[in-house]
Amino acid sequence: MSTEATAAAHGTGDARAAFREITHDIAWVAENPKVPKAWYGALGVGLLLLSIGGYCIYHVVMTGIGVWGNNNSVGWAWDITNFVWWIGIGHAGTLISAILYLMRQGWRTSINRAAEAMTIFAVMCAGIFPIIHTGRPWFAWWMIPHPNDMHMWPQFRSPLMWDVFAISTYATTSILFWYMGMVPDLATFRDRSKSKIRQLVYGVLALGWRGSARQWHRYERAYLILAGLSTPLVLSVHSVVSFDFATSLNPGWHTTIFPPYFVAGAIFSGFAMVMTLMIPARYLFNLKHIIKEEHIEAMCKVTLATGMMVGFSYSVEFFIAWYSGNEFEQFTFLNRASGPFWWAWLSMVSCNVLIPQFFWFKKCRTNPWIIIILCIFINIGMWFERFVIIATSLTRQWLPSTWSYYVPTKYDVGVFVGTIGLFLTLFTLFMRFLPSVAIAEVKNTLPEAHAGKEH
Amino acid sequence: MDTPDNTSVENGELYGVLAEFDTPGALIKAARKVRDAGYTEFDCYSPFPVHGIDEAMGIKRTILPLLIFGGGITGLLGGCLLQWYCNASAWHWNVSGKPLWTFPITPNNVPIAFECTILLSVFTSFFGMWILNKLPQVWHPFFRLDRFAKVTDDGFFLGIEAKDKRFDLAETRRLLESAGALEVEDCNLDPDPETRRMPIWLYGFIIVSTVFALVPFALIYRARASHSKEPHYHIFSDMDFQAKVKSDTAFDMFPDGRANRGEIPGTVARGWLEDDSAYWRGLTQDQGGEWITNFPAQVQITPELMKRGQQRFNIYCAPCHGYDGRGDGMIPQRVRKAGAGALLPRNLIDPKTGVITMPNGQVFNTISNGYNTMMGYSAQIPAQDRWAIVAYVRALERAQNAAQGDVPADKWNEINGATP
Amino acid sequence: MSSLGPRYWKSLDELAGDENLAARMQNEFPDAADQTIDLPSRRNFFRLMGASMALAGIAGPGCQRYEKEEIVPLARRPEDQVPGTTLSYASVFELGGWGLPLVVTSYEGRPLHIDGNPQHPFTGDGMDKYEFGRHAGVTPFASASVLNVYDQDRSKSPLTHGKGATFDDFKNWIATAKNDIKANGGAVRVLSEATSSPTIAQLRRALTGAGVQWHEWEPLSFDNERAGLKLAFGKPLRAMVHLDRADTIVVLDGDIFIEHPAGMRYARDWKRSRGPEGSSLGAGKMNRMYSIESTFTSTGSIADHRLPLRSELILPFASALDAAISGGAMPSAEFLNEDKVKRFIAALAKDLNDVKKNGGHSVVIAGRRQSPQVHALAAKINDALGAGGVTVDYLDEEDRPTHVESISKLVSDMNGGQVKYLFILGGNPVYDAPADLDFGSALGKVDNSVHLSEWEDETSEKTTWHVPRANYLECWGDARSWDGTWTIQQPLIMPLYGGVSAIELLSMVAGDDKTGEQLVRANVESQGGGANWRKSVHDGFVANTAQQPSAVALQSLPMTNLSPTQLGGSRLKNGSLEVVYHYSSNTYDGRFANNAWLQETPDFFTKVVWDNYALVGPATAQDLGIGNESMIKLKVDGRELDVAAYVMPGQAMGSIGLVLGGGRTKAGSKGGTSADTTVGWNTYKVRSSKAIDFASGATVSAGDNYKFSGTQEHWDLRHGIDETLFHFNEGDRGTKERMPEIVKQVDHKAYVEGEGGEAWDAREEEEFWKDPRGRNYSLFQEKTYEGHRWGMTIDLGSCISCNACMVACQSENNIPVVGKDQVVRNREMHWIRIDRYFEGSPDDPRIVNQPVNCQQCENAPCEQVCPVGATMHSSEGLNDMVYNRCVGTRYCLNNCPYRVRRFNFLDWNKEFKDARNRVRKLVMNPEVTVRHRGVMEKCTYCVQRIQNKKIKAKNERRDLVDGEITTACQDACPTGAIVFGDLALKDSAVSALQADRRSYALLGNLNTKPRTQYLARVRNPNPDLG
Repeated sequence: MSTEATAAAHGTGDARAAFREITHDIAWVAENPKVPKAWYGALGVGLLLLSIGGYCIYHVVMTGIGVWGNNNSVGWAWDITNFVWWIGIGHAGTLISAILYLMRQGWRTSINRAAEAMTIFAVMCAGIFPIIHTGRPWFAWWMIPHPNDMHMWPQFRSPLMWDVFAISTYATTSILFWYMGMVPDLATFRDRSKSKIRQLVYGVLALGWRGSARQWHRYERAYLILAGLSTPLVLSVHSVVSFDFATSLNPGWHTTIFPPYFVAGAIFSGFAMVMTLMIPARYLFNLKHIIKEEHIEAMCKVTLATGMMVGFSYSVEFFIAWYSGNEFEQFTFLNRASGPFWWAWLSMVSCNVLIPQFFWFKKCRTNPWIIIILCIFINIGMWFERFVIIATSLTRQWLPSTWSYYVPTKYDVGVFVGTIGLFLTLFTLFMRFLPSVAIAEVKNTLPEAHAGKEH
Repeated sequence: MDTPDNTSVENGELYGVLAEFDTPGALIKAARKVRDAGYTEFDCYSPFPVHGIDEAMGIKRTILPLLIFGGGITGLLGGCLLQWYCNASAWHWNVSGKPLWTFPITPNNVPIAFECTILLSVFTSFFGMWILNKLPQVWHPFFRLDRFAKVTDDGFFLGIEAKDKRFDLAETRRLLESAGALEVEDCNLDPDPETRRMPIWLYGFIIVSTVFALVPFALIYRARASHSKEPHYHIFSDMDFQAKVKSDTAFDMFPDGRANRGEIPGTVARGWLEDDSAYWRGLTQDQGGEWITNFPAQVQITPELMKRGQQRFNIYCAPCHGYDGRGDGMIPQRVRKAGAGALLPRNLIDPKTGVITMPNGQVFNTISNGYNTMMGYSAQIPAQDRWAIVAYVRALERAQNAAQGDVPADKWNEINGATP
Repeated sequence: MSSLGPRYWKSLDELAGDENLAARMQNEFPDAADQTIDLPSRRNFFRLMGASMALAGIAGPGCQRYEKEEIVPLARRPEDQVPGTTLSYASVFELGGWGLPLVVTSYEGRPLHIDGNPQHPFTGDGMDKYEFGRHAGVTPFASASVLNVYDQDRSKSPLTHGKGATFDDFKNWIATAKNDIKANGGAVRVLSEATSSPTIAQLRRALTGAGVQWHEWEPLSFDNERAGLKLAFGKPLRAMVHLDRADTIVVLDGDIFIEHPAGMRYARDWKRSRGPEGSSLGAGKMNRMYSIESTFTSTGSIADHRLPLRSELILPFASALDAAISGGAMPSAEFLNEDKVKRFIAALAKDLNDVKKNGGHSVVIAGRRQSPQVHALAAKINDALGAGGVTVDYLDEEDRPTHVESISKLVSDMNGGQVKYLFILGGNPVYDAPADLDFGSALGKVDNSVHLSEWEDETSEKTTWHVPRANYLECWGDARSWDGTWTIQQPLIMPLYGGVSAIELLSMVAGDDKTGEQLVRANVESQGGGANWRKSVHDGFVANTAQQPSAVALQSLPMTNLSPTQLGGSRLKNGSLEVVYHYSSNTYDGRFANNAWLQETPDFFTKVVWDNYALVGPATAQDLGIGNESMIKLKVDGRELDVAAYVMPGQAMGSIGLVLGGGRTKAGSKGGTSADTTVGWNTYKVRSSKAIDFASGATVSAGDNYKFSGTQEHWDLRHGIDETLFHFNEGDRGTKERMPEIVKQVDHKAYVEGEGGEAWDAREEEEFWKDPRGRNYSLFQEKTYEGHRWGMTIDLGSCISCNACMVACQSENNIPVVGKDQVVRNREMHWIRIDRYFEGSPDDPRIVNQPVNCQQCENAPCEQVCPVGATMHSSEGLNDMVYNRCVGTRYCLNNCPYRVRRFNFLDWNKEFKDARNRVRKLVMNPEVTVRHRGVMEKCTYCVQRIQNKKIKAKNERRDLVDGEITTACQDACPTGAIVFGDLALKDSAVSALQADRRSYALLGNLNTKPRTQYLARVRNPNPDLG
């Protein structure tokens, strides 16, 4: 099949060969009987980390939050840090799939599917923390409004309730959006399937899609509107997350700049993560001609831009602290840079503000190795950003007598590692069993898509 | 899809014809041609949305956006209503000294209202789209044609259904060929209708999975409705097991099995000095004292005291001694009815039985500590009230054994006037 | 009696198996969070996972059925026992030989909570408007002693030669030994704790009449005062000061408020003459207090002027002061010429003389540990100032050898084989007797030794007989308060583990086997001046038994000759350092080592828990090249001791404060069961009979590092002074700027006269929220309250940081103990804490104490962030915490500016699952929920007390009276610094105080509108020292 398809493409000037080629190359990722070793490697690592995390979570739930490093001054630490970090990572997916779609950025089609998948998996990882970080996770469902004998209801003034709604809406929307985009491609898989099981599974998932023009018409409308809805949603979600801090009293948290600052940071880290995942993927499943150099480069530019925004926010925070004339505020920020957590602050600034500057150079935007390394640094830096915001502020609160320090335990680390494992596992499975690139959309962006129309 | 062999094509009824085209452009042209020819029951099929085909086929704009707007509005109102009901109507509490419902003065209700708006819009657009598209539809006649598999790969098709009124097999074929179709193929329905239906086992699968999904709910319902003698199970003890000892509970560490260790003889709790033997014990003095015949200094005989005494008497004494004190209260009556032997409470007012002759102190002592079958009431009735009862009993005796002289003249006349 | 003891304890031995595991878990370090659930090894992560999986199984919930609760009501209830209500009994707690009158609250015959006796003439009499509601102070030790009753480690049966026995065995032994005892009385000795019990005195007279010799030993005794006053007046006396009449108070190296037996009374009196306007001295007057001390004490922390001075230098200082006041030769000590000391003495002398001139009164108090000469000099100065009869009375004491002499004699006799029978009544001499005597080995030479004690301790294992002692709440007894009032100790509960009291044992020895009640009653009725027994028991004291002041005439004092170090400068070289022995705030002299409440109550000023240490001043530490938390090897005349050093600001140069009471090896599961599970170090090892109070010539060599667990600096203190350590007002970044907002202080002069024409007011920045027309800048109409508005006022000016409130709160509100390793993790659970801030230079700082509990904000930041509404506002303005609704997001904690919320990070009550510890359930207050892990908790203003009083008032068909409801902390506070009440009543004390211009809200400019407000601390400095 593959040989004949390529022959058709290069031999005769058949326009449809290009479509065939796309179809084949992308579907082949899922159909290729011999899977690259690296895939098994990734899956193995993922499952290992996942099991570690699973144990740690069991331990936390059964024994209590005390197995973490949190204390009576530092109510939140790694748990919420990880939560915000994962949510942030998720945002790039929605951004790419929705906002770039609205902006008619053709290049997004090569990566949007994977990016959306990343969003969903990241949100799943993030969602773990708000639940297990509670002292009595078995009652976390009390945060969902439900009629009950005692007529008790949630307390909607709490930003945590806003979180519950924002995150769940975000997760639902992302999943629906993702699945909807995937249906035509699932149909492709269905039609190429040889084995009965594949036919059945993909057949059911494809909902009997048959590419009728009338269906395409409504489909495109719906897709456009979903994109339109996702855009304000993605902005709102991280704003709401930032409200967890911004609506509190604490110096270092009580900051009006948080919403834009958090959103920028989210996109920043998200793009970094997309690249960290896609660059290996395009080599692994040789999708180089689909996920092209210029796509990567464009992402680098976005990363650079958002990185600058983040850096700007940092400086604004300090300026406002000084300008406010409030000694508590001033001390907090001074303490961030020079207090016991100076190292966290330093790694945050260097990773998020200095590292992205490399993307000014084309060489750095084109060399995959450099990009990966820079992106990993950025992700680390963004984790530290959240850690700095949470830990330094909570360890130096209003009354000096309540000042304390925070030391993580191995269970803090274990749970975080576990979520990384979950993410890795899900993503490897996705790459193997689902259309990792939006086939139909890519075809649509080819010049051949307009073959034979008279202008 | 199971693809039938072409020999069986003729023996199914005709569904329509399917023409394949080379390029999107060709498809558009053909679509326009077919439409101009007046066909309505036709559709184009392509691996991706072919731009321009809508107007070529004359597809009307979908109403989906309107539905979504409706959904959004519902979400907005729903979100506000939910919050208002939860925090301002159903469960209003003073939280941080804030007003119950300040929307939109303090914007703490905005985020959730917003999220709800988005959520419902998303639902409507997602499900609305599939419903309008009549999907999921697992089976379609064109799936029987091998070539149609290319529709999700590189094939561009135009299919005209036989139910179109202008449909005529030869005519339509010619039209399509002239429109530049690479191939035109008839599509017949499967002769046996069974294959058009969903396979039985699929139904089975759906039913079984649904049932399984319901099992947990069934169990929960069962658990809620069960009436067991045994206490409930629980996984996390939470605050059900209190590491403390509540009032009058058992505690197996002590030989008597009680947590209540009682009072150590000889100790005196604060406020229980009880050094006034007349008031507390009805004696002139503790060692070798006599019953007091009058009332202790703390007890002033006032109408209020008598009223209180009457009230207490009717609560504590009347059940046995009767409201009139003749010793024929509810309980002795019932005991007699039940034939459970004779229970004869003391007749308090009968001059012969001696309560009248008892000194006040002794009556007080009897109330406090009991007298053969009668138990002591010191734990239930405070001393002041016990004295009030004594006072009332005295009044009762007097009233029940009253002579004419005891009645004031005017009252006497009243009574006589009342009964001529 | 013993038949009433619990029957379960036979199974102890079977259960003893996992005691080592528990011990290991308690002591391994530093990864504290793992401690409580993991096996120590951290080598192999996966093996550890397995291990803690198993342990998590134990710790974890496990599916079980709800408990069935049996109700066993009494058929015939006594008149005074209403189910669910409490009764209270007067009793007395004897510590160091003097009684503290108590009222013990009992719930169905189980003592639960301890307060001072407000009716008692010594501690209770009189109230002014600041200390209303008639409560008397209580020390943390007395308050926590209720926990000892239910200590599962108490000894449960007599032991003979280490083998178990029964009481009958012991009685038989006594019976057989009786004639022998009678025969050679001289060979029979009694070693008793210091005691003022008239009944013991009675029995003692009987025994000594039969030739029995009587010895006393108390590690912290008041012998010096008796000796010193004998020096001054020719007869043994003790001083009883009246601080409410004193304009100027000078304390020479003493802790007169917490350590002193009369401390509760002194604190109250001090407070009376302290009120900035309207004190017992007259309108607008307040006392001025000077403290010259080597280590920070509560006295020094509230003194207007404090001079850090080595304890051994107090003698020259005192004679210099004497010289400065009444003329005479200044001792030629070098340090006296140091500018600071010079100025101090001059100003002090001037102040004292001025006060005398203006017809005021002063008093000089010499500390317990100071030598007799110093006490004599103090008496001399007092005499010169005309204090006698006004601010100080002298009460007669019996003339007896000092404790050191007494025990030295005993030990020499024991070694000489002249002791055949030794009865040790309480105490723990093997542990705390002077090291040079080596009491333990001497004990081996006694054929028959009997040790009466509540625990099988270090002494019990060396005696031939150990007899369980009944806790003081379990038996009859008596004691005298410092003024001599005869105070009755009545039992609250039968001895849980059997056990006899000291008087019962003595009467056994004497041969007539009387019960405690018979003994005390007989004694009271014979010598109580015809007092009514029942009334005395009820009131808790025998009326009119206070001692009358004795007439004294000053004698000329012998010349005191000074040692070289006393003549030297204030800075010392290593090798000639001074070591001063202090009582421990956690264990007193070690006797409370197994009391978890006290062990976890932070020290007054170091804020360290579960430990003892050597206090070293910053300058000295620099000289010695040791840092905070570094181990040191201390050498005092030939004896060596390894101990951790705590760098304590304000510790006198060259002086090392050595805290006693650590390193118990047989205290129990909390205080240590073996040499490697001890809490702290046994500092008695270096304490010799020659230098029982302080020694000089000590050498220090630095060792490696150690980790303290403190409640205030929650990170490695080794980070050093530079970074926010100790919160110095000056130089400490981030603290200096905010201190003025957190702790408001004003000098008395400025307070009375005002600044720049306008009166001083603490409440400026709340005006920040109001515009000139008094509108509130809030976004919305803020809530108003009808009905009760509960509020509290805490007077920073009178907090002596005695920790009584913390312990009282712990006992009232079932606050769990979390252990040393969890405190390091900043997970202590105290609902009220006492914040300590230093101001000034590390070597001579001032201390500010600030008790902080839940401020009950009207605009509580914690409430709006709770997603499930687990914390909400009651209609009376209480910030309620609904434990059962709490999911444990900890957001409320993050948003509380005061950080008073406490989270149950682990299951602190896990120990109750162990059958051995079930007895401790009995100390829990049934009125208060025992919190489960994963829920938040915090101060409730003792809401259970509020409700009980409301119910009472409702039953009695009347309104609540102001001062009727008191919180546990308020009841415990000796100075009445805490006042609780209804702000809705215009004339309630708390309203009055919150209207006072000293009153301010902590962090008021956050507009949290706290119901708890603070009274600014008014200092009364001497202008000459300004």
